[in-house]
Amino acid sequence: MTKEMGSVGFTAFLAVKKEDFVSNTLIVIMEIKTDSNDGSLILIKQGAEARVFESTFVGRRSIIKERFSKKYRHPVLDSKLTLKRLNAEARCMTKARRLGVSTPVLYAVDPILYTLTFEYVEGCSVKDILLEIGSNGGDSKRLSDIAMQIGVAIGKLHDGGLIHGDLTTSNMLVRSGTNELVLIDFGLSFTSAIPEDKAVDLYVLERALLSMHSSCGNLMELILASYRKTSKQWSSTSNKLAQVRQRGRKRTMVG
Amino acid sequence: MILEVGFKTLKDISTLLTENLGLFLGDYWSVIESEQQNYSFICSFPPAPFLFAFAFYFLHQHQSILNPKSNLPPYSSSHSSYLHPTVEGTYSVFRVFGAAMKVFEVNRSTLTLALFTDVTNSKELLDSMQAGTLEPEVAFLNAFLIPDVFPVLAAAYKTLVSKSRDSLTTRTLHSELVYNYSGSKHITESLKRCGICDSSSYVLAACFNASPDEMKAIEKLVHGKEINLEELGERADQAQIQKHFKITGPELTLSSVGDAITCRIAARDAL
Repeated sequence: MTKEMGSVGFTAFLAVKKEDFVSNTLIVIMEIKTDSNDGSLILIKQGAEARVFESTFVGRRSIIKERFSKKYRHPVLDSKLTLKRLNAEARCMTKARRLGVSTPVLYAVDPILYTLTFEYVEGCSVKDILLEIGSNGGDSKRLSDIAMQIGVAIGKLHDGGLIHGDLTTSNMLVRSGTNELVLIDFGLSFTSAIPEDKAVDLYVLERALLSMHSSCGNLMELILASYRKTSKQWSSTSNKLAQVRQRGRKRTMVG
Repeated sequence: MILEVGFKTLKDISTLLTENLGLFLGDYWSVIESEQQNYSFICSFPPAPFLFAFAFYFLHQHQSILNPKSNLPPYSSSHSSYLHPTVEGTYSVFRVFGAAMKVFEVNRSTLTLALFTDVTNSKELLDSMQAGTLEPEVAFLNAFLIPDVFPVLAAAYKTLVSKSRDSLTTRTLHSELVYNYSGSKHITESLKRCGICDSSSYVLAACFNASPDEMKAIEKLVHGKEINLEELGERADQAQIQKHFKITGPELTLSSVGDAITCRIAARDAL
C-alpha cells in the first residue's frame, strides 16, 4: 500500500465516489450484493389480513405485502381464500393503472408465499398531510389540490367499473416531488358498475373524513365537485349516495 | 463481485493493482476482455468491501493513465434509479460503466445481458436454439420490445422463482425468460413475438449464471455489433410495445413504458 493511499483513508473515498456517479471521467464501478428478497426485510406494519415489509427488488426499493394464513380457518378454505384475494388485489391494482389512476408499480406476485411485491412510493400519506394541516391550519391551496386529485382518481376508477372498497386517507399517498396522488391497498377492491357500490365507496370515504379530518373544513364537498366533473355517471351515483347517507353503509333487509 | 475498468492495456491495471494494493490477479480474479477496451475483473469470492473501496479510490487517483480517448458514453443520470443505497456509502450498482455486456444479480443468481445490433446470423441462432445445441444456453429477445432492463430483470426473477420450485412452464430456463417477458399466457405466440425470428437484426442476449468463458462465447456466438444497454430506450419500438402489451394512453401519462410492462409481467398469472 502506498503512502498516498494510507493517508487518505476510507472517508475520502466515499466523498470521491458519490461525485463520480455524476461525472463521466471515472471508469470503475463496483457491484455489491444486491438481492431481490435478501434477508433484509423490515417490518413496517401489520394488519388483520397482511404484513407489510420493506425490501429491495432487483435493486429498487420495494414493499412486500404478505397475506398470512388464518389459523382458525380450515387449511383448504384458508389457502383458497388467501390466493383468491391475492390475485384479486394484483388484478385491481393493474386495472386501476390502466384506467389512468396512479398506483404503485407491481413487481412480482408469489402465489406460494402469498406475497405481492411493489414499488416503494416515496412520500407521505394524505392522512398525515391532512392532520398536519388540521392542527397547524393554513395551506388551503394544497388542500384543494389534494381534494381535486382524490375526486378525479375515484371518478376514473368508478367510471371504469372498479370499486376501491377501502377509501380512507391512510390508503392514499402523495408522491414527494411530483405531488401526484397514489392509491394503495386494493385488498378489498372489486369490479362493479352498480351505482349502489360506488355510492357506498364514496360514503365510506365521507365517514372517514368526518371522523379523522373534521378540522380541515368540508373536504368532501371539494372531492365530490371534482368527482362530478370526472365521472359521466354522476347523477345516478349522486342519487344513490343520498339514499346511502340516510340509511348507512349496510342495506336494509326487507323480507 | 465485479469490478469494471476502462483501461488501455491490461498490463496497466494489473501492475497498478498488484503493486499498490496487493490485489493479485490470478488466484481469485479472472479478467474478461471486451470489445471496447474495457476489462472486467470478476472475483470469485466476495472480498471485503474495503478492498473494493481502496481499489476504487486508487483507480480514481490514477485516472490520468486510464485511456484518455476511450470512447465511452457519459454516465447517464436517467439510470440513477438503479443506484440504491444499501449501506451508507456503498451502492448497489447494476449498470456497470463502459463495457457493453452487463451482469445483474437477481435472486442469488446472475443474469448477463448483451445487446447486439446488425445481427446477421439470427437464422442459425434460431435453428441451433430449436435443436437444443446452443452452447452456452442463451435466451434471445426481440430488443425492439424492450425499453429498459428492469422489466427483463423482473421476468428473470419470476423465472428463477419458478425454476427453484420446479414449475417451469416451458422446456428450458432460458425459454421461460422469453415467455415470462411477453406478459402473455400463450407460449408459442410469446416465443414468436418476444424471441427472435429468421430476420431479427436487433437482439438482446440473456444468460443466467454465465461464467467468464461463457460470456466470451456469447459475444462470439452472435455475429453483430455489440452496443451499450442504454441504447435500449432510444431504439425501442414504442408502437410495437404498446400493441403487444396493450398499453393505453391514460396509463402512459402516469408512468414509463418500462413500469407498465413490469406490471403486466408480474400480474400475468393473477389475471
